[in-house]
Amino acid sequence: MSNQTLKTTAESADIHAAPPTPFQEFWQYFRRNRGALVGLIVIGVILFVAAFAQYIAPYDPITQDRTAFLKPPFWMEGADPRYWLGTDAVGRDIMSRLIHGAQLSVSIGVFVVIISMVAGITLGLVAGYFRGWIEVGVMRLMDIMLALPSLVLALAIVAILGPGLENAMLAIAIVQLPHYVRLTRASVVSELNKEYVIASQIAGAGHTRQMFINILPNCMAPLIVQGTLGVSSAILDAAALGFLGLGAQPPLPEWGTMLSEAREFVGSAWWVITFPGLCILTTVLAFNLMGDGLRDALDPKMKR
Amino acid sequence: MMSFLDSKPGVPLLESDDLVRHYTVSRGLGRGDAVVKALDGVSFTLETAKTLAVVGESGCGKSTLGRQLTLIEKPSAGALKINGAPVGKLSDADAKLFRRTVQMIFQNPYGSLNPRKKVGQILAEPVLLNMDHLGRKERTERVQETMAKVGLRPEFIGRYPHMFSGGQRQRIAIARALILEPKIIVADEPVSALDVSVQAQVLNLMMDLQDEMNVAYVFISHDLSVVRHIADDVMVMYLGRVAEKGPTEELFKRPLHPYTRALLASAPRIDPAQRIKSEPLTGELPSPINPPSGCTFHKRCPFATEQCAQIRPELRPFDGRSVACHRVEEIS
Amino acid sequence: MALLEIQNLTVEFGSEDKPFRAVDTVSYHVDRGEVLGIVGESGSGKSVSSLAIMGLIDYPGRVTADRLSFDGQDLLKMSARRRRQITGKDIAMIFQDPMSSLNPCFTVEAQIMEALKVHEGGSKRQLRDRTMELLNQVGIPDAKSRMTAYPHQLSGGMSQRIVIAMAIACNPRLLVADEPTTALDVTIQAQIIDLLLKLQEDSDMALILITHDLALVSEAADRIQVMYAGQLFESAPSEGLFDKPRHPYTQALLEALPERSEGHHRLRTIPGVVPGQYDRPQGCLLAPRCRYANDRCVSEQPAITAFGGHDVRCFYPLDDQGQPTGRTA
Repeated sequence: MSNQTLKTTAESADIHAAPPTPFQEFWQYFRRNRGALVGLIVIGVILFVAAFAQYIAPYDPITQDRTAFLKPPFWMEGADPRYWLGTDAVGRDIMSRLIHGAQLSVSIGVFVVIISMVAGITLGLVAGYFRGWIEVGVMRLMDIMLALPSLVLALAIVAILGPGLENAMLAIAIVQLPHYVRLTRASVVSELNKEYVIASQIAGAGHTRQMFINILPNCMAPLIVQGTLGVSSAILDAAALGFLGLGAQPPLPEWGTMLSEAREFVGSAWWVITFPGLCILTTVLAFNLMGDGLRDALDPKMKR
Repeated sequence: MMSFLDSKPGVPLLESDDLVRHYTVSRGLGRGDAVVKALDGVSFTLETAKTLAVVGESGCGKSTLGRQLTLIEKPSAGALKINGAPVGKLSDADAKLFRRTVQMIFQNPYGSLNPRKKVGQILAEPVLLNMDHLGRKERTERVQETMAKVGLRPEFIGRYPHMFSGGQRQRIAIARALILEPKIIVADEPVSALDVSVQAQVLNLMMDLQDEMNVAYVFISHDLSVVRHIADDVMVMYLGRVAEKGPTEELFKRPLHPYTRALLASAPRIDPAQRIKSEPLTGELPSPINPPSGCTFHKRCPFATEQCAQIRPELRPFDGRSVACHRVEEIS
Repeated sequence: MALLEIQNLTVEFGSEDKPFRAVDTVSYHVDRGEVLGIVGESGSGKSVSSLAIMGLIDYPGRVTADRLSFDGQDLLKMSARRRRQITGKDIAMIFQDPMSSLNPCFTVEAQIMEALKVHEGGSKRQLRDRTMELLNQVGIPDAKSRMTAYPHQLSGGMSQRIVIAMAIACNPRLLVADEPTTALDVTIQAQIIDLLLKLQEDSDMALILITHDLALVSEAADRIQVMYAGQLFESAPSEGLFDKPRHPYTQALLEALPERSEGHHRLRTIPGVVPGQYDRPQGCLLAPRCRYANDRCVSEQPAITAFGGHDVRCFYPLDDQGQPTGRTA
């Protein structure tokens, strides 16, 4: 084999212009979805607020001002100009509480998703890769968990572990687990038959390498989407548990807990209950919008 | 333990003796399991730097054969020997030696490369797993050398598979099979997903590499014109068994088995003089779950007799070839 | 008058400012009872152009043409409803994968009868008899028992026969077959091609056979068109094209076939790859891969001209010896 022929074959395999990188392609699809962009911006703002809550919030979230109980927001009559969104029943600045609440809610969402994703992906990978009785065991357990209403299951778990923010997060993580397990298993099973997996097997890749290095990265797209949507449902569930008094305990400024504390003022001081509710709504909506956008951009079936 | 790596005089590189692979398929509740004889006693030998083509229609067992030869699956029965050393239950060290001896190229260059891995990572994997004495730098060098060998620019090491065309991807797949410098490459329909012009490039590359590295190919294909060009020997399979086996030119010039004849007659040709006018084969491939009695081809065979429906013909030597047909003497 | 006439058909995808031309100003015609073969590699636009004729290009694809007429009727100017009537009854199409052309939820009988009912009507009994007749016509053995089968119970070859039966149910005058045998084995391929040609002869239907397999069209087609990267490169009667190709691409494609290199060790290849969306040449689309290309080919796009009985898109079409003509220096 002469060098001459090798050179010509090398030239023949030239690439003229590089096609877009995977990220560029993703961004192209994502950008087209206006709702998703809005969601992304809102999430950016919430993350910023959460990260710098100490510096942004005008007051401490739990300090009580005994001179200003249930002051309305600034545009209403009888408002205290110091407290823009008014104060609650014990004279705490609502805006500061909401800003600190963002920190709590975001970290609840993120931690819950991380915990249940790590556990769910591992279980799903093992079930989908090894098949057989492991799969049957794991998947039936997940089916049972899915058969129970999620909030009831979370309540039961919190009831066993005892109320409190950490336990509530753990409970929500467990409740969310089956979604990740099922999603991972389904992707793994479909990837397992692809030739690249067999090629790696011939190259001598062991089980761990196959599962985590070769197969898992190819299953991530739907999991990222589910994770984004999972953040919003975790925030919602945490708020619900807080509202029922089983999540974050007062005086922590968690949005659900704030709602619960304000229950008795629904008729007399609407702002105490409206603003935390709006915060939950906006955050959940933003994550859902972004999740949908991610699905459109990452799911190959949606692409033209 | 004999080594796969050392060739011994008089011993073929690869020897398959009566290789069998059965699958059990469940037929649903209360109906018991059925046995599919995907591979039903296949024997052949392959010499260094030669190409054996395995041809046949889908369901004939040619891909199953490839899976047994690369140990993706364990054969149900029969023996496989490489340089005279039996391939049975392998220790970790032997498995590494085996992988350095036998590698595989797949049909679909879009499915056989991990889409989330860079070319460099894809090519480095076999080295990483089987040549642990090499350091990171040596590994990269080896990857780049192999890329150059198959006509890919070494700069492409950081690109992802989707940035390449089908032909270039198949080059990457060939590089992956080649990087351990194996003695045998099992190529399962390596060019059937490619366009004509690119197919020629890849076939040339495979032939050049054979000349240069003395690698032997088991070339699984349904494309007879490609097989005729690249193979030294051809093995025609039908429903898990060998119908005919022999040197390429002789087999193409004068096919003996009625199935081989039908296969050649069905393949379209550009040159009108080369066209074989005959009635196209009637009927379809029978179900492998419930194959016909006797010769599995007898229901589609224009020469079939009562004997063919009853007794299974064994592969026997005839005129420098092996043919599994009762009536080969009469119809040749 | 030709049965199907197409002038400057163009299909574009992608954004308005950076469109990707899948089909680039293609003009051709099909006569009554003619078998036209369209060959090309992947990305040549051979399938997209026929989908455009059938009106099957959806948003975001854009179809434009100066003329697109069937049997004298302008398909572009008529209402969508009228066009659907024509493209279901008079023009039929079959696709590569027979399995995905059949609805897995219904029996063979139900699907063929549905196709008949829409375009012809009649009593249930008449429809059933006609279905039976069609199945016999496409050579399905034991048609009676296959009537009640579901698609998954049939082999690939059988499914393709059923698809053909559905396509010819309304006695179309033009059948477009897009890679009808690519998913099938050679012995089955031979059966299906024989069937298509027999049906074509019996009913004097025109047939467009789209394929990547040069040998297949050489055996089946009267006239052959070679497409490359969305453009029509050469159009000629079947024998002429293979004996004396006038376009360098056709020549190179034929040489790349193993059949043409018998006795040689290496195959002749065409260097490089078909241009994609991001690397479309400015001049002749083949220029980067053509062994005869010069500066003019790189900068200017050739138009289609008649040469030696063929229509060729090349500045320097090949003579009988396979050498480029009209080239100075």
